[in-house]
Amino acid sequence: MMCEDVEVKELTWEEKRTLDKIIGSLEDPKHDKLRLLQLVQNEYLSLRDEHMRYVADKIGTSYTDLYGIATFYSLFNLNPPGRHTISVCMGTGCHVKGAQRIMKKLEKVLGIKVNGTTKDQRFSLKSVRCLGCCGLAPVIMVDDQTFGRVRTGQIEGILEDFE
Amino acid sequence: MVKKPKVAFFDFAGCEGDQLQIANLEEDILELLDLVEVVSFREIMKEHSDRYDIAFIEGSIQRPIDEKRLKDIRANADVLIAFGNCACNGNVNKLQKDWSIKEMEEEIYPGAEEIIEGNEFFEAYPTKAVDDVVDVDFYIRGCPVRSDQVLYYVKRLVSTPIARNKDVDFKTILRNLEKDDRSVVRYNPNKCILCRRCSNICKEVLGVDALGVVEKGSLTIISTPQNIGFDNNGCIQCGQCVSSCPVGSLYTYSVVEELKEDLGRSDITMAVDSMALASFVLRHDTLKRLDPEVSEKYVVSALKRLGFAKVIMYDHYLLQSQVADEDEDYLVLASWCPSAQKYMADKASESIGIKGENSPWNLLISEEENDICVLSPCTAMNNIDGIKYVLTAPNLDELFKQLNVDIKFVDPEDGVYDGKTLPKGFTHPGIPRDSGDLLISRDIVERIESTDQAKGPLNIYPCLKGCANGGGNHPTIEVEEMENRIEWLTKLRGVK
Repeated sequence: MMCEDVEVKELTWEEKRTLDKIIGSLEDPKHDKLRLLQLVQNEYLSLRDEHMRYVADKIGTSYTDLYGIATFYSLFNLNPPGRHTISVCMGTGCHVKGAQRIMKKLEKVLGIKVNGTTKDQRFSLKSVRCLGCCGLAPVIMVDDQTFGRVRTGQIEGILEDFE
Repeated sequence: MVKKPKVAFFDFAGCEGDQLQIANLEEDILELLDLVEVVSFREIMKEHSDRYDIAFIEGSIQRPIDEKRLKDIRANADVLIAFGNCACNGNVNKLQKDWSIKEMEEEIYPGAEEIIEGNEFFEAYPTKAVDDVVDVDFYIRGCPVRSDQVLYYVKRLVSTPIARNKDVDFKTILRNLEKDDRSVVRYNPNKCILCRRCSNICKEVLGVDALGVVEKGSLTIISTPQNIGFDNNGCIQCGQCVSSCPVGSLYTYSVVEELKEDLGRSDITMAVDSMALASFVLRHDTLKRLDPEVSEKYVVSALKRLGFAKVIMYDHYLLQSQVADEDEDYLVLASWCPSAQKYMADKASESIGIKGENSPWNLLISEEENDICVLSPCTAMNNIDGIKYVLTAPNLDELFKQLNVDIKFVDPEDGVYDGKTLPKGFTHPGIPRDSGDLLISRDIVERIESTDQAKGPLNIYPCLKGCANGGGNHPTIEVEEMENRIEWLTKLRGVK
């Protein structure tokens, strides 16, 4: 059967040392995979293919296993995030007040889909469940700034402030 | 004041014990009367009205006049409840099926034939449950029913909007994944119930962990990291995941199955490599005893019977590819082995001057418009783009079996190749001409690598000591078997 060759990037000496350090900092890394992946992501902003392979090899588990965990939790990114993260609330209150329209508008303006990142690494788009201020619905957050009662017409103006 | 729903109780054939349960509610009956207005209840009240919302039906249906009455009730009532076991399923009344109606009349009303005759009150038929006659919205079962159950149902009907006993439609989202035909084991996400037996067996029992659960929510599938395919993720093709799958979402690829379905649908051209033909014929005692030319005709005729649009000779292209560039400057190196050809094209193209388009399959693909199926001894042909199906001799055997074509009963007169054929006296390029020895893949590859003296068509048998390029999962073939095939082929082509 057809088998494509899978190319895996070689790790540099520094990367190996950093990953070894992270693994060494945990008491039982094999059973503390969540914490381990979290630390790796903190270091490199996202979970990269070659890093996960290396770490899986080191702690005696498989890449398949780590990849399953990384795709299950929304905490982990497989691709590096943009400089600014836009979180669109899709909770009940915002949904009723038209969060879908806001999301569609954002997708159109940025030219990406949910969970995507723009080519210039400026914005990442995420959907979240309830930001806890339903009185302001529909709500979006850019980094740690909250914008309430957003209209589709205001979106471009909001994004202008973030470079 | 809120209008109370009107409730009526009706009895058919039964002991009326279920209605008695309501009459026995004692102080709770007041609660019931607060909620509803009873307009008809023969057991406890004289009044009767035909205006009601909820009808309780007790007893089973025995006579045509009962059936007519029940249909009238159904037309009047918004909600119809089958009340008690007699109404729900017929209960003890259905025991009468052991006797005929006539027998029962004689037993119960002896000597009253004249009165019974033509009287609609005595016109009985085998017992029916209520839902055999009309639609039922709710069932309250029991013999008798529990009185608190009645109260519960009435309260529920009064307090919540009525949802009838209906099948709920669940819409399933089909996941449009690209068809993954890289691995031997294949996966159909739309059948998968995500029981995780496959991933557990792969991880816990075998320790391979080639497949795992990926993504979350409705996107969850069994896959590999970055979707690299099972074979690229260390799959050992043990087949444990396939046999552990309870719904058949994991399956092994079978060219026979695929070809079986596609044969009727599209035009497929069959290219027969006579080395595989030799292998096929030598598997059958009846064909083996025949003259090689006749047995070839039998096979070609049977292939046409299978539904191939064209059956052509692959050897023709093999020969053509070898002589095509004889007058060119660079050394002519050709091989009918795709692995060796790939090796030469990849590694040795600059130093020796091999042209990729010189390969026989490229000649075949450029000439053919239909989908191409090759009867070949080499499964590595699968790796060539443009060749859709590769059948080996055992595969062909299976295909004949599954499509019920018996090679003994075909007409050998139909067994003529379409298109060009090899003239008599030309050998199959697989037959060594210079020496009697079979050249073995690794030796040849070494020769190409070490010297520049590898000129002319090469006869490589990659299968003899492992594939030259590491491809193919078939068992290696014995030298003796190879010699048998060559002997048969020499006879077929009329070479001395």
